[in-house]
Amino acid sequence: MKITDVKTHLVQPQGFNRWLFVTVETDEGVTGIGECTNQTSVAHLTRGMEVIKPFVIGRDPAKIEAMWQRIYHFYGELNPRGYITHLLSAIDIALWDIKGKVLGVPVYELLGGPVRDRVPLYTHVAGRWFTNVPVEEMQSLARKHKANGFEAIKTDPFPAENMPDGELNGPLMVERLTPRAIAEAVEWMQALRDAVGLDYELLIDAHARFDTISAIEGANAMKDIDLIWFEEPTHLESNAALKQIRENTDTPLCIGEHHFTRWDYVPVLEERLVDYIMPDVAWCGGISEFRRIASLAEPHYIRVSPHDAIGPVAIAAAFQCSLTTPNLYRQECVSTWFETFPTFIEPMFDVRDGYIYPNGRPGLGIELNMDGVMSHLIDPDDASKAPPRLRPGVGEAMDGLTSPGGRGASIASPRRVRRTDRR
Amino acid sequence: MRITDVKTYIVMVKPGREWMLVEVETDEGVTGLGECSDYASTPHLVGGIEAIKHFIVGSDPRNIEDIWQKLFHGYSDLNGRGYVSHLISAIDIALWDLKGKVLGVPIYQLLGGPVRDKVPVYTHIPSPLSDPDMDVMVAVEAAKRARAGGFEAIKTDPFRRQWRGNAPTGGEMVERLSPGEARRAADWMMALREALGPTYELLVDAHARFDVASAIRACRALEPVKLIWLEEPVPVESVQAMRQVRENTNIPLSVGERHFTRWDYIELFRERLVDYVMPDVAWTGGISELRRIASMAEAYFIRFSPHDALGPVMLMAGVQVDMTVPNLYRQECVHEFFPDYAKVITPMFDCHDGAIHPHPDAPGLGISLNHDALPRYVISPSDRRIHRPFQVPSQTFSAAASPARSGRAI
Repeated sequence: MKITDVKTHLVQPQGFNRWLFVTVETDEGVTGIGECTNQTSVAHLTRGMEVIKPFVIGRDPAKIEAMWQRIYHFYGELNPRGYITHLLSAIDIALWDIKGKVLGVPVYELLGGPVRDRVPLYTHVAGRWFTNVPVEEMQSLARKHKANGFEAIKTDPFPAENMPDGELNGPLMVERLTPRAIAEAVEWMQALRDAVGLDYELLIDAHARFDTISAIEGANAMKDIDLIWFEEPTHLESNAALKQIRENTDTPLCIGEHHFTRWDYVPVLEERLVDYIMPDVAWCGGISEFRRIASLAEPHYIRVSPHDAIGPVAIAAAFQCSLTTPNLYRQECVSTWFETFPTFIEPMFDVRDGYIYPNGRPGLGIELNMDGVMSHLIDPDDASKAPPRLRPGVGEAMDGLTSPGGRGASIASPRRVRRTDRR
Repeated sequence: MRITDVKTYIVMVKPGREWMLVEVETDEGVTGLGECSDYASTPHLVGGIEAIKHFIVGSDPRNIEDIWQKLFHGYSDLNGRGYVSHLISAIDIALWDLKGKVLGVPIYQLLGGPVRDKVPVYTHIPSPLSDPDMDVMVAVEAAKRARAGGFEAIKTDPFRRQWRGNAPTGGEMVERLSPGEARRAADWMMALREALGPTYELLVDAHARFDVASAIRACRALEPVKLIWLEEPVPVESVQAMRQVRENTNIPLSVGERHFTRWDYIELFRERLVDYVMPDVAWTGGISELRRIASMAEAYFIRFSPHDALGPVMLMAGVQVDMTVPNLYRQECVHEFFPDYAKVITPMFDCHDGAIHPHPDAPGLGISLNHDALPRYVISPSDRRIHRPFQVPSQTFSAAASPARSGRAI
């Protein structure tokens, strides 16, 4: 059996969401599906998949590990942890899908079989980062989630008050939390707590926004909210910063979506810097690597919680892993996006009462609905399809701070805009 | 002043040795030159510059730091350290070149001014990494010629590929070194030592190829050669692996080309895992970041030695920084590439007596693209001669020594 082609399909389901699907075709008619959606970077990843094709075409799709090793180690000079692991993830997911289909079993059977019969989810409500949702509307959605069976909710309650119109400029890329912003964030979380009750599980995502002292003060201010975790309190590049936060707060901590492959997790786990980890199956190196990271965390008695991989194929891949992972907390999702999924996949996963149930089908258990995909294709460079802050030339936040004779910089930052749509 | 376009040129003077040069254009006619060539990764970077172009066009090119911060932190989803820092590097180098040209001074004047009047270099000789059947006398003769040409230090990789055929299998990506091969490599280096004398400066690059036990064996075997350093003994992902090597050899160690931005260096310095650092200006985040890493190293009394292995722009960008860095060891270069450089840049830089001598009146990088000659060497991004995965097995000199062959199936 040989791989004959690799195709990318970038679709826009609704709003400014963009999903990057990948299909791996074979000479025996079996096609595997994968995904490596990342809102800030679809223009990079779509091109990258074209470049990486020669690694994949002509190879035996059954040799998943050999493919993984060759692609990962080949790109040592680019640092494979990041851009390359995104590309690798989509290929790896598609190869596991092919293997499952060829053998006629779900992927979770190939990973050692299920240790649970369904996967618990957590979902989201609006926060304060680049959103302006009234508190009553947030509370109403939280109550609705609870009524629908979801047992846990995550949000980012910290306002981006230093960022006029959401424009980020150089000195504000590492944000400072003011006492006022912290007070507003606590109010927001208290309103959420009031809406769902004392026993409900609440999580905060700080989106790797803050400097070290801001993160410490932000985490400590949430003491009475009784969080499950406070996620990505600071930027990812410094484990020393994370350690400083760790030593100065009692709030449980979590990291993961910006940690790629086992190698990024070794120091975090060895130094016991967090209480939960949340790798993204579509970013960290695919099903192969997600499963290995989960196993790495297991002897540390640390729970794993797949980051919401955004699109339906990635969620299906994370689900396959979650069924087999003993040390699972919950799988992330944005349940309000589920309504758009049936246009793109067939069948829609079996979601009930805040859980996903296995459907028994081989591979990932879903197929791409190519009619839906083809009718929603977009160009990765089409700025009008990008979220506002990903559009070129937005904002003039540097006015008054410029070099002599010049008007301020006006580059739009690509920063992680997908969260603006998150509800 | 506004950036109006970012143009990419893939320049191939010799087959298998393409460079990816970037030119930032402005509404005032001044342009800046950058580079982020990286072997088989270059096609990714060509696409990447296209993908980030929209964020840069329209900006004031003088706001170098603001652009650096936005791109680095803005792309943290992809990890700023690696692919993204390569793209930032090309832009950053071009913006410093622009600023120097606008102000009419070499970049080193903008970085605090020179602390030396020339930049000492080390160079390369052919190695058995690219040609396993090479006779050691080929290397010895090349080394003698380099010394006669004024070069005072030479680096090479004496370890043959430990996989057979044209490409490794999935299980061979991290190489194991047999005791026999370690001894062979030591004999190779000892032949160079004997030919060049006891005080000539010799360096070994292990290209991050080996597992820990192999790396320790290699280091110990090479201890009698009295190297300046042994570079990248193990893959870079594991600080623990580096520490294990460090604790088991007396050979001086170096890393850097696979370490991107200050953040990748903090732990190396804190744990004192190496004796030299060698970031690549075109990969680690440009002139801005190279200068900052050098300053960080200075605080630990560690010497700094920029990596260089591809086109002329990254070499000259490194040289501009080297002029200002007190804790410089030497600048890497591959002198065999110089005649190729002279075909596409103007003026050609001045290298004599083992040092590069930047012209004090040449603004920016001190070089420009020769747009008259360039069209002869520019190739399309889809040209099949561009490095593709496993067409060529290795880095420096590989392309010259071994023509592209199709990889074997795993």
